[in-house]
Amino acid sequence: MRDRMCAGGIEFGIAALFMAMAMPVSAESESYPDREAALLAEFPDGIARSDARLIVMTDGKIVAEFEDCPTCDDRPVYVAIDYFDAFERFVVAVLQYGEDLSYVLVDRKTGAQHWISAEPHLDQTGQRFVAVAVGDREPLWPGIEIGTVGNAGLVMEVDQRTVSGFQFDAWEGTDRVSLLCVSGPCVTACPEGIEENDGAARVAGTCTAELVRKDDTWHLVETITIPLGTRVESSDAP
Amino acid sequence: MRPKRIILPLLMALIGIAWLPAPRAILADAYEESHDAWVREERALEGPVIEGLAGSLIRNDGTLSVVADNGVVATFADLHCYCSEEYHFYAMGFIEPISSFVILQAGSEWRSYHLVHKPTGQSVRIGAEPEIEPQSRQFVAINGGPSEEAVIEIGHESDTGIFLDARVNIAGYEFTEWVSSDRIALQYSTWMDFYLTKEEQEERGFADRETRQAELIRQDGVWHLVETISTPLANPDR
Repeated sequence: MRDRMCAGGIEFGIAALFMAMAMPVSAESESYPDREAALLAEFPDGIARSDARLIVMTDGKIVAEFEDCPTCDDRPVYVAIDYFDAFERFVVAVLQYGEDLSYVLVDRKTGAQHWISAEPHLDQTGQRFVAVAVGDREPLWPGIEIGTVGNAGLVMEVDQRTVSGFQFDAWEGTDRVSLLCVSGPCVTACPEGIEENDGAARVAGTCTAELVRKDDTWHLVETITIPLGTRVESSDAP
Repeated sequence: MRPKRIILPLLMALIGIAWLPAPRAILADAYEESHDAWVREERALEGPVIEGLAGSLIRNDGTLSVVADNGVVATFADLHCYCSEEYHFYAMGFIEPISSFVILQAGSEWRSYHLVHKPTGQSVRIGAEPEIEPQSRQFVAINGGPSEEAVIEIGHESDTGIFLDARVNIAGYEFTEWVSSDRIALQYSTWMDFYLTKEEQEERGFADRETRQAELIRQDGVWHLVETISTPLANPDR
């Protein structure tokens, strides 16, 4: 059944890759196909592509497999984009119509998969990553995820699904991540009394945000600056 | 009458005079916290006699009048209707730094305040009792009540009148202090802070919740609300 459904996988995979090439990719400025090509060349015994199939191997044995599927509901196309050395995991982007849908961290030895909602970005030590999903379009999951290397391999420090409206900007050391507010000053925390749909309030204000680790807990710290209403003339007594 | 009978009452009278409260230097002394609006009005009405503001405040049954220096009379008439809209006015006092009388307008479930400028008779209506910054002749009024009524208002007094400069509907904040003439510190409180100590909040698992702090800052002549919200993010391994 799966084989029949994926009969057109090769053509679709090529088409999707072509679309992905045109798509702007923020991470280190290379397109996804270029990044996959570089990975395939660097890890010939670890990851390979066969038309629409992307396979992860250990000692010649396939431990994980992804196949583009143009007839599936979400029409996924899989592209390997990175390898996180400290985690010993490949990063696979799941694309839909050329846009990223989600990402998978694939253990190169066991094939274990950890799905996350946005492209992960390593800190300077390579021991921790953050993924920040804007969550501004269906069926993307909103959320912030932070993972680190623990005794058991990947350890998630943050898995927050209810936050939206932010984009990754940059790591500032290992305990701080600057974010971009992408949907106005009161996306997640409009002050009470200010309507979320109040265009004036959203446009007028500014927002800065960051992720900060304090006492082993990560916090989302938003600072919203809203200019208050303009001068109101005094009135006569009632 | 024997001398002893004269001396004793005379002595008692002298002691009594000594114990009389000294005349208040300024009426602002009468502007103090009291839950009884009538008590405060009584003190306010007494004040002008002492202060040379005689005739500025006139109570005539259900009508309270403020006579400004320029002869303008601001009149505040109670509404007696035996209905939910009924309200009464009370003179709360005089605030010297902003040369204004404070008039409370009290309904059955709400209150607002009128600042009446003594030199001009102009007035502004605000949602709470004002906190004064004497040097710059500014005031801030913060009503941290339910969200539909919650409001922060900032204004100033000048020789030409009394004005509101900024207004925002926002709930949960209380006045802390005027840090400078361009900066006002606020404190955020929730019902939890009102009813539970920090220890009780920790015991009930409310310690890990968002915290807020805010300031009102004037930049380039415009007041801004700068609100910082820190939200602990979910840790799946805890």
